Amino acid sequence: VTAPVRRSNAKVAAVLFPTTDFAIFFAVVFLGHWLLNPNPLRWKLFMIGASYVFYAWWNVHFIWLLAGVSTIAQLGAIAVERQKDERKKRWTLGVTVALAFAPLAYFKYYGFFSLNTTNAAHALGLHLSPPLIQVLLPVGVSFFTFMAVAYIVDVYRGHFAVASWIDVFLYLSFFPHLVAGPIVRPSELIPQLDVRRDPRHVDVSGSAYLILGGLFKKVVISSFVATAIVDPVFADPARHSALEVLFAAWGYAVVIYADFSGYTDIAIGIAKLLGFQFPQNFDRPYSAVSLQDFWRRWHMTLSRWLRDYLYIPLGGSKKGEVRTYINIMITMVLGGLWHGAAWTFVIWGAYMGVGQSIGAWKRRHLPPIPETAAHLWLQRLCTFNLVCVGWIFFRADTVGTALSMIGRLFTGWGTPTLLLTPLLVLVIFGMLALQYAPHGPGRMLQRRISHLTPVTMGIVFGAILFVIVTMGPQGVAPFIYFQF
Amino acid sequence: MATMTPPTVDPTPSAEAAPARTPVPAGRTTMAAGRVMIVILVTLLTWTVLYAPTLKRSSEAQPLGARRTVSLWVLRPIAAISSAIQLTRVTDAVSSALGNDPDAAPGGGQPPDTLPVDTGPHNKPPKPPTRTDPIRVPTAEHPLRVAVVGDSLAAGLGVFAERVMSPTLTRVSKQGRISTGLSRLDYFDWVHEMQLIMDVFDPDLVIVMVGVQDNQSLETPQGQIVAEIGTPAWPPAYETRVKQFARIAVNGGAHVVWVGLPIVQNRGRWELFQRQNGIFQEVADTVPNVAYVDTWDRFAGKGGGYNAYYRNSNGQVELIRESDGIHFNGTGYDMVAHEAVQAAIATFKLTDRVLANG
Repeated sequence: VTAPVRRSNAKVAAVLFPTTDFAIFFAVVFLGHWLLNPNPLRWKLFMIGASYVFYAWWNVHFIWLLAGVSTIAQLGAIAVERQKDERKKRWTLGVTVALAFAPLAYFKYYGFFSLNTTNAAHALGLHLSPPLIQVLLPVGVSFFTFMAVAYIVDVYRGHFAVASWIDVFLYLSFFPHLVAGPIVRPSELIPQLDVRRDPRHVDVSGSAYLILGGLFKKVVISSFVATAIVDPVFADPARHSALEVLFAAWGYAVVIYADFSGYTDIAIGIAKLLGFQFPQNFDRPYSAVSLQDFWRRWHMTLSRWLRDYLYIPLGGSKKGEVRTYINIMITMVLGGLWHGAAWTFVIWGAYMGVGQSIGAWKRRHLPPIPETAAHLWLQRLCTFNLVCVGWIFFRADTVGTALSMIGRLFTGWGTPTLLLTPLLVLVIFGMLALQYAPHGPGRMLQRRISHLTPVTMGIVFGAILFVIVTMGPQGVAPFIYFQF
Repeated sequence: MATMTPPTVDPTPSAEAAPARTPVPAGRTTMAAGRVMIVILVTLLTWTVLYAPTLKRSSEAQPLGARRTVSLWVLRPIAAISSAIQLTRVTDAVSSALGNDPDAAPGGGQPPDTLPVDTGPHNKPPKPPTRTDPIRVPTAEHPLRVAVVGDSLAAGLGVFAERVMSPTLTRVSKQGRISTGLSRLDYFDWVHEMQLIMDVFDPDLVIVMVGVQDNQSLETPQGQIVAEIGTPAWPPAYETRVKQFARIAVNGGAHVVWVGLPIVQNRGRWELFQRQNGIFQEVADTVPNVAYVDTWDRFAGKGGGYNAYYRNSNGQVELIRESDGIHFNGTGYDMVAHEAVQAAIATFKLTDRVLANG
């Protein structure tokens, strides 16, 4: 375990992408994938096997959970499609979605529920206590559950026909997205499973750019900023100055972006090497001009899932103004709770909901702000700092720590600032500035790399990998989103 | 089959159809899968050769067994070749240029040469003082120097020890090193490291929590086996090492609070953990200025079993353990940190003003 707070989990490290085990695993899978590519059935069975091995690497017992959710999704989709009566169809949908969510509810929320129920009952003088069991959260359960629900609902809506059993099992277990997304829609992945990929044209430079870039963000940037300022300040805000607290909040914005977008880049790059296209998950989120805009750019596949499978079914903005705000609040609070069973996440979700509701109210009732450059930058600055206030609750181990962080921003101006170094400030501002960098240089680099011979390319990649790993700390912490 | 079309590929459900190509921007060339396999293998080979010394060191840290043996069997010749062709010098130079010490001790944490600077008096007695010798009174000008040392448990404890102690009256150096212990000095020499901490930081109080990884044979820094795990020779040899470790701190003038291993979920580890705790307690009883803090019974449930939850004095239930069944979460570490500081207050007459809320 590398960190003492609740974000640590030593066992998760076993399925980290940046490990020697994964590198060897992927080399074997890559070979098998392309050798079996001409035979779809064998290829699918091989990929399901490989994905289950990948998952079992963390904990072999939970492959039954993955298989169980896949079975529920397929049986549910079949039942929904066969049901002709609309009312019964809706009931079938409700039951199957509830069944698909049941493991997630148990593994993720049982401890939170039982603990809070016990304490609330005690406060009321009642002796009510559900069994207190500490449940181990299976890696990726939130992600594959959401994909399973998307599949059932899409079949119900007629957006997607029932797929074969083998396709559903592969759709939900496909290892590049298995542990932390992106949350791929059935229509984005299942049709790709039936297409024979062209072995003559693998986009190796584009894939390597994503994988090595993602590793750099995770191993170097995220680890450095976390260790240099975020972890020490969040561990004990009272010992740190207001400036350190401010940079810790900004720094955490960089840490979580570098960590999660780094993971997503690696996942998309690995899928690309296998000939698959995954949806984009980040689009320069810290250049957003409002909280609504931020959520269109941050964890985009989760945002659209919440929109399509929660906000719209609740009525979206079609049932009047007040109901719109209520729907936004419900969606964001549940979105917050999705990230973890803790009050800090509930507050973070509610905070984002209030922010988005105010934005929606402004759009309805106030004249639009003139789009001058000054206004635009002011909006970006405000949005970024509003997001950072939310990140304080997201990162803090308790609500008390979050409030202490915010309090230090006002009371900690006389304390010496020891943690801020020129390099740290440069990295934080540099990463934020990259949100506005043009795509041209990256594309040019990929173009140039693509013309190298395989051996030269391998030596260059190996050397870059060495530099990245050497720049990183010993024992890189698990990806933050593995626990969600 | 599907009614929606993916954005980038032809969804025709037929293996006989023309194979799909991933769209690639103009000017960028693609590569055949066979050639990509060569790229992957050359990448891994290059990285392995460049990184062989570090990989070898990581493998040496693994518990004795087949995985370790195979890893070392593969990596030793590669590391030797890397060294013979002077590649290690180049990679060490790159590591140094990138701000890393290629010979750095494993386990993370703060290297001794970057420890906080000395801020207090050094007029401590040169010889082991008496057992009840009180610890000095800290002031804002000369805060109490506290080092929290040990394995991953100490890494967590260090964070919360700092949190529970007054920022003005204490300086805490967090020296928890993950995956280390007192058994394998060939991997991480805690005896040497403790001496470095004493020389550089000169702590007044050392809080130790170590031993989770010590279910291994005892080895010297040179890799010679002192006592095999599971043999009658192991407990006395381990006690000697624990005593040696504690004496380094005490002889340097520090007071030591040794925090015992907590009860863990895996019953298979109970016997050795309890034996280790017995040794820690024995050492605390015989070496001057060492206090022992029990965390086994303290955090055991009713009936003596493992329980991840704890009912506090207000009657509220709190989760105190991580899901790995070994480590504490923040709430648990906070409690252990309070216990450790309270032990120093009770045993060494440390002023209770060192507590942040004291």
